[in-house]
Amino acid sequence: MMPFNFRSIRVRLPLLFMVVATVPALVSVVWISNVLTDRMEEILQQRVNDGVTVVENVLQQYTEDLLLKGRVVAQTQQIQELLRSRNKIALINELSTLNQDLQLTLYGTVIEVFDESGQAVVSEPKKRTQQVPDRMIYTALRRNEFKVSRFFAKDQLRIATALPIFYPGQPRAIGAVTLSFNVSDRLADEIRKIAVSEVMFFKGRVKDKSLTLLASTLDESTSTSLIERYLKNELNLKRRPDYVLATRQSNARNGLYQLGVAVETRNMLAVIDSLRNLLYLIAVVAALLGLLSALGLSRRLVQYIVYLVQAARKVERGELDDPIHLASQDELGGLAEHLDAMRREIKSTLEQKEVMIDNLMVRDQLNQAIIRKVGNELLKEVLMIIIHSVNAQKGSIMMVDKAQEQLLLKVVYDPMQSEQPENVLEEISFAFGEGIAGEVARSGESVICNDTQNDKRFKTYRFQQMDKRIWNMICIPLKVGESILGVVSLDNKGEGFTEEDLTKVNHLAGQVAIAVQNAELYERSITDGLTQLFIRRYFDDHLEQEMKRTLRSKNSMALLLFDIDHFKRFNDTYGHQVGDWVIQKVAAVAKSCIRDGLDMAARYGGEEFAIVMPDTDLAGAVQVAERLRQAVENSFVYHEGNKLTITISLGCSAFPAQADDKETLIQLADTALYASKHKGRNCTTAYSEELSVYMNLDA
Amino acid sequence: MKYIQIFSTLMIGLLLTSCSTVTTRPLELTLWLDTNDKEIRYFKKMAQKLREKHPQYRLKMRFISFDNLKPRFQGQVGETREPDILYMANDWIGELVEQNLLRPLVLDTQNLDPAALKSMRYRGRLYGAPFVFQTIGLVYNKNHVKTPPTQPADLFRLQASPHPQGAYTLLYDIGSFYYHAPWFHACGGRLFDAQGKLAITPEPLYRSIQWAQTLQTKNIVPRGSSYSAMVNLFASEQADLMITGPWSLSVLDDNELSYGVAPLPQSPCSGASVPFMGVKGFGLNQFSENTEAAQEVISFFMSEAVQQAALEGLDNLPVHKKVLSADLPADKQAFQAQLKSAVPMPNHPMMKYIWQEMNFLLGQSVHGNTLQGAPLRHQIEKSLDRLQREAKKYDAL
Repeated sequence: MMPFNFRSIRVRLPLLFMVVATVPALVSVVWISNVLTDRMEEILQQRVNDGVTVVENVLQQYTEDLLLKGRVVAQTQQIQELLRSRNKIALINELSTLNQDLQLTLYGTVIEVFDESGQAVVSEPKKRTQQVPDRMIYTALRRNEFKVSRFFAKDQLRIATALPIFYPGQPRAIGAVTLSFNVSDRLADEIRKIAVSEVMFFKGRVKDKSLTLLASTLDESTSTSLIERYLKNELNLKRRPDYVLATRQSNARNGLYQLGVAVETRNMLAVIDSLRNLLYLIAVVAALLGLLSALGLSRRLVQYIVYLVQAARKVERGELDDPIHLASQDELGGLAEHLDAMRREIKSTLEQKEVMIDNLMVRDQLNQAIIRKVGNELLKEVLMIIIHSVNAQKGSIMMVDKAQEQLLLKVVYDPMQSEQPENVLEEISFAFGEGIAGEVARSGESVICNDTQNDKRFKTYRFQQMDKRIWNMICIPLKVGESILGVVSLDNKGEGFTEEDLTKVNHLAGQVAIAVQNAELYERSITDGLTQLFIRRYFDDHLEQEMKRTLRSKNSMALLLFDIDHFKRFNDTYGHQVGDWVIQKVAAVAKSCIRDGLDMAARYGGEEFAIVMPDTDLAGAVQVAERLRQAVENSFVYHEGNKLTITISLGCSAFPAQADDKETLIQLADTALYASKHKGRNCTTAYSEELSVYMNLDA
Repeated sequence: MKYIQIFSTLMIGLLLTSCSTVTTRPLELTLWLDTNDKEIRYFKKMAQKLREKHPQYRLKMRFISFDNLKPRFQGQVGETREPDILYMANDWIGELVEQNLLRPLVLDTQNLDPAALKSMRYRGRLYGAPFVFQTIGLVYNKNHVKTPPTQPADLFRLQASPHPQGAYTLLYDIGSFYYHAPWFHACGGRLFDAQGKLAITPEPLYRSIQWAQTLQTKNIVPRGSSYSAMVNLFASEQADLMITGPWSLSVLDDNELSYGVAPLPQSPCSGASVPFMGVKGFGLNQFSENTEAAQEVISFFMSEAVQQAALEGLDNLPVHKKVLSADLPADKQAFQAQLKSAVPMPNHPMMKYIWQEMNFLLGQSVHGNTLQGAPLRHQIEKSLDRLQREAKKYDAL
């Protein structure tokens, strides 16, 4: 789990998306909810206003009905008769029947009958006090007028009408009938059936903030509480009241009253709540979906960015193997492609550099070898370097024998067989054009053969140093200009040789060829043409160098000087030709008796020779000298069918045990040689103090 | 991922919270009832108390006149499934049950008067929750009558005593069998036997109607005496006595009349005058879709508090035993005493026909001015014949 870091894009991006996804949805819900509430309030307000109009109309209708029903009562013959007869019981029964029949009982109508003088006769139902003022009764009786009046009687709003009762044949009214009803709960209930709203009547004025409940379809406490809140303007939907209320003022003869209509908000609020909750639900779901999408998107973006950052860090650390790729076609995908191109470029450059370094290192090794080695030693070193540089299993170097127009196998190297490359002592040769190597020597062109079994050019050969099992190979000519010096054959690379290997080895082979050629030239310059031994000048330099090295290593070295006994006789007796042969023979024997690569043999003078033996004391030098003497003694030169024997005399000295410098060392060896001559020739003398007498003689 | 989970949890929480704020809509129940102004005020107050105690319910009341209440229920209930609750008289029960319009009630009845409960049972099941008793007594004007009459002779004496111009001795709805029933019972009459069979015999009818006719002929009860005339003239102090129930007393109170309530006087028959003991209560509509809620509302009306409020706010006597056993006002005590001797008003489905037939017979007898002696007996037999024919349909013979 990554620590919470607000600066991280992993946190900031999802948070940003969260805000962007959630806030607008919630704001929309609140806004829509408010709009909805306002609209619902308008609708409710309209409904209560309409309700007031309905109530007003219904009340007006009841009022007009009262007048009509009053006329029915007044014109009922039975009533007229009973009034004249003053039969109260019958009159009451008749009024009761009319009250029922005309449905006047529904809202508690009282019918009162008065005689022609305005005195009450009966009232149905019986009321303690007269319901209609005398004024109305007299108006009906005297003026024969009838109308409806609304007035307050104590705390009751009463609607009443008064009509004259006539009797057929009588010019004047014989009485009057009044119908009246109070605005009561029962009346309110009747009106509610039509208005489908709660109906209320209040006495007073709204602006006076003092209204008295007259009648209501609701219970008294609810009605009172409602009007109190109404007067305080507390009945708006946002306060979630039980009802909303509207009132309209009307006039009674002796006061003002308010018609009120209340509509329950429960259903409307439930609708608003349901809609609001639905909106919240939709908003939350939308926000959630938006958020999840945003999170998914941001997560994807973050993943991509983090991936790119990590990829860049890998490149920075030099981990260049993993390709950088985003499965996206957008800018990030493009960025990934650019990064990958950079990675590839850097990798390629680094690889090239590595190759260059590798090549340089190989070349350096090669140069070191070229500097330090000569002859076959150089070839062995070179072969080892080249094999390692291309990861070949083994290899060989063949040099051109121009005289024989063939290739001579010089060195082989197979780490499976021996740790170090070896000289090939056997005479193994290939004619130009024979086998792949011969073909390379003939054509001067390199050859890659990754399937030797099916390549007709391939020729197997057997010799102890090389394993015959070769399944692929690369052959490169050692060529300087048009001159082919030899062929390098590299064998058995696991995955096969490539053009890159060829290029690489070609470069090295070119360098090696030049080195070999240079070595040959140099060797030729320091080699005596007759004996193939080093010349005197090289001997001097070499001896000096070897002495320094001996001093550094705190070891010892020896110098051996020898010459051919009675050499003048050979020249004089058999001629200079034979004398040369003798010299060549001694040189050859000397070469074969010394340590290859360690000891150095040189032609010191006409028939004088010198051998420098590093890491050898005087006794060791004597052993070598004696072995050499015997070898020479056992050799011979043929001349005209005669075996000519040769002997040599040898002298040895040691450094630094016997001499401090080169001249002394040579002088001491020469003294010892002189001593050998003096002793009768064909012997070896190691310098000792006793021989110092010969120094003077020689001098 | 954890942040996503936390946010999702918050969102779901918000969602559930917002859903939980949905206003719980109270269940609306409908009650049909007939009432006077006084009763309207009472029931509105009780509806408010119901709302306070059970906010999950709202009681919508519809006031319908007594005459229209039962017919409208019978005609409309199947279509509209309204009302959930009917405020009814116990004598409707048999008829409504047989029409499969009432559902039996499950009610805690231990605090209710057994007689009231019995009135609401039909075929062994309780079909109504009794609310108030209804019976009649003798109401007298204390300014005119010092000692209310108890015997026929007392009535004759009171009649003979001086009266103000146009004043009467006794007024009652003489053409109504409900008000005539005390004389009928006193003369040995009964409507049904213990097995629910029609048990009306001619003689008690004849003797009781004769007594009613006597009251008229002796000018104790004026001709044309009706319920309206009774209340009107008694309230106008133009009558000494009237026979009525507590429902008329509010008019007297409105007119500030000084009155008293006494047991009904005896008739010439040997037995005491025994009125019906009617019970008004709440029935549960068979077609109501809110039966459980309706039962809960009915139980609310049976509670002691509501019954106590009924005692204070209504004229009729509540049926709660504890409320009824408390100290009652004098007039209510008198009605309570009358109740003790009253005959439970049967709730047999034939009651409708009995009312019709008996009211017709009485109307002919006391208003028709023709049924005397043999014609009355003949008319009684014809009425009983018609009733017996009807009884066959109800297996009540």
